[in-house]
Amino acid sequence: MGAADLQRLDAEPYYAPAGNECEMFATAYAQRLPVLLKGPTGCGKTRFVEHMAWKLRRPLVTVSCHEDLSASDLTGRWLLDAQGTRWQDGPLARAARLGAICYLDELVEARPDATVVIHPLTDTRRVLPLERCGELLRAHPDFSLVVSYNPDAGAREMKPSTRQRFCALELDYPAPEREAAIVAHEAGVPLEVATGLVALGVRSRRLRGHGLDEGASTRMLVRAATLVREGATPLQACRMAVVTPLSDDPEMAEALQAALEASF
Amino acid sequence: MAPAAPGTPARTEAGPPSRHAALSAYLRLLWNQAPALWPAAGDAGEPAAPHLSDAGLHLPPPPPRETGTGAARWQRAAAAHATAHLVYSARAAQDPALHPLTRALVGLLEDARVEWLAARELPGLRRLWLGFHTADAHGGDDAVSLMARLARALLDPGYADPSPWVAKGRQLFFVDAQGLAIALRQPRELRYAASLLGHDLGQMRLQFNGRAYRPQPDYRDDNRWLWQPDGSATEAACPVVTADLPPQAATGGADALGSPGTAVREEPGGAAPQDGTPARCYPEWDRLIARHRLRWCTVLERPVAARPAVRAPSAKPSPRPPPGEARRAGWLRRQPSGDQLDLQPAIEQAVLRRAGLAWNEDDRVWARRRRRCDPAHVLVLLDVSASTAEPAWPGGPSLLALGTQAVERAVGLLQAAGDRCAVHGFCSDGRHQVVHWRVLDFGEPMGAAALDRLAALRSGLSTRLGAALRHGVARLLAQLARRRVLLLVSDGRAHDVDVHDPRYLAEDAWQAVRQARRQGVQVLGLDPAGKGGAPLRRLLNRQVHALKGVQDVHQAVRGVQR
Repeated sequence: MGAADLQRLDAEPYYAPAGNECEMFATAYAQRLPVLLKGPTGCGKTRFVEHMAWKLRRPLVTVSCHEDLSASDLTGRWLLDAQGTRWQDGPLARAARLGAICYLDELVEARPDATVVIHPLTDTRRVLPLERCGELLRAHPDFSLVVSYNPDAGAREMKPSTRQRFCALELDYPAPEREAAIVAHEAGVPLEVATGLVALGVRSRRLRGHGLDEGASTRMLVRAATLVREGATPLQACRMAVVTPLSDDPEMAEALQAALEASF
Repeated sequence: MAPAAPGTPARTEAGPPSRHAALSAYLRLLWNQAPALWPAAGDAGEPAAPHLSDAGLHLPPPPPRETGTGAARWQRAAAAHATAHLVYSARAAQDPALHPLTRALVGLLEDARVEWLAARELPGLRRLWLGFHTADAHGGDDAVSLMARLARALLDPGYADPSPWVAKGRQLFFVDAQGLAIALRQPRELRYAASLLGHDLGQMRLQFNGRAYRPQPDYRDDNRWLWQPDGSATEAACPVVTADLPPQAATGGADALGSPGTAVREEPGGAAPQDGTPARCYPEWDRLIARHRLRWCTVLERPVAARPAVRAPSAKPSPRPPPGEARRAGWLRRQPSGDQLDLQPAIEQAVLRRAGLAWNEDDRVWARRRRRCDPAHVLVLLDVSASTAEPAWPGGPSLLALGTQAVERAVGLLQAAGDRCAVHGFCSDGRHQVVHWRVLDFGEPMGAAALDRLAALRSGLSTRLGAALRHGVARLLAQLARRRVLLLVSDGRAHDVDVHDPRYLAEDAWQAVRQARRQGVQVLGLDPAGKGGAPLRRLLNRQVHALKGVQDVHQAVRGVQR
């Protein structure tokens, strides 16, 4: 296993900065400070990390956390082979060993032991204890840890003992003009088509806290625009990519469908 | 659930039809406007017209000719048109000297103006409204018909009307022949154009009855909101109780809501403690100002006087074994993936390999740690408001009876599995009197005394759900616990005597649930009506079990123990 196993980005992932988040991330990385990215779903957190990994010329290891993700899923485990057993690093151990940026997406979804195992990596020790193989892994000087967290999802809250180990950057949906430019670029549609889709997205976000946990994300709008590019009408595309996925509640679905019909 | 004064029979549900939830969301989506929606009643013999007041938007039922999706489209058209006035119209002072015909024409032109502006922003609205514009030259040449035709000509660029009067109206309204820009932008310009058109109708000797006139098509509101009564400019911000509000809304509503845009009031004391029981104040979410009103509701805890219960056979403790098995920590052996190698199958696999024997590709040599499910502190919050006195089905037991049976069974199962439970009934009588009836305290067994207290609960008063939930959460947070669960046994319909706006308490309850979850309290719901209805589903985001039988209680308990 080597650095080739890690994700190395050949082309620059497109990211349109909203402010000075790129500079601040680079400053934190220069000091190897762990970074927490806060923001609603689909606002560009993962793309931002990919963009920064490319910019800083570091490989990237991404882990999508889920409720069954345990500490050993991150650190590693023993495997059987023809000779007996061998140790297999988990993604976090691999990133720490080889000096990658490790991005733990939605960390609060993981099991508590997975949250705790990152703690020694986030302070001055920069070590990862691999208890099962008796190794105290010292992180590579280029290693850095980034986690994301959606505080509005209404699910779990991040524990103070974890959150206070990170510097944090808050990302949000871009302003409409910038979001339209992003959607147009990502999906390859004219700006006026993207502007119409973004207007619907902005409207849907008005229901956040009024029946919806989240409005339409930039990612949803890009998908709608992709369907338009492939020949669907905006009405058909938004119904498939935005309205139907957003809510199962009959009243919310009816309101979203009616607002969609009013929009185009 | 619906309110009732203490000791009186349950009142009927006073909330708006459920379609209003979809309409409210629709208006928020279109313009981020959230007028309160009210049913509108017509005068004697007259069909009701949509209208705006300072209390909100009053919508009558769709006309009988509209059925199915047509009825929904009519309501959307009416709601969108009236709300377009809130977005684009400026209110004018009432002018007694204004001729009724001129006034009607000002309204017509203003209707066309706001629809043109709305359709520029939301093109689909033009399609929606045009579906109701059917006036044409075959409909006659009286004043009202001509006005309906003008209304259509101002909205429909493809409509050509032979009347010179309609053509003149269109010329006055638009800058260009194609109708790409409107000329009437100021109120005085509207009034001038209306007076010209009115004068022409007068010259044509056409009769006009200002009293009987209703703007056409009938989805358009009657424009009374456009004309402020003399000297009422400063009253515009104060909610007004109108005649067609539910009767119980006429008490103290303005006090509860305050006026939009005012500062958040803080009331330090709330109601004084009564009977020596502790009183606690909680904030309440005001959707109009999108902020919490601090120390707004007072919750009183009261003990329940026990009443020996006559228990039905079905109310016996569950014979089912306690569902504690799933919560034990341990290892799941022979798994396809896991936290560590499972030694025995790993050795078996190694022996097979070294012996050169075929070995299982899908070698299940892993052991996965089974998550330990810690015992929970569970607060069961039982709705005992007036509407729980209603039968669950015709001739069936009351909702309260079903609820108490479910609580008894759920607590039995939870306690048998090692969870610590408390049971509170709740009801309210305005924001200063939200009562938690203490049936069972944490650590107390669900014995005969507790069952007698549970049986002593009676239906009455209202459902201020948000305050009740906040107090339940506070009680849970005061417990030293690893897991905290609030099990709400209710239909989820919030209502209280001092609140007019049907969405006010619903949104407050939603905020309370959201806050509870952020504080690590799991909130689950059990609907004794057996419907798992939309209000509870929306409140708890589908974590609701509709109670139709004993199996649903088991399901709810499993939800607690997950």
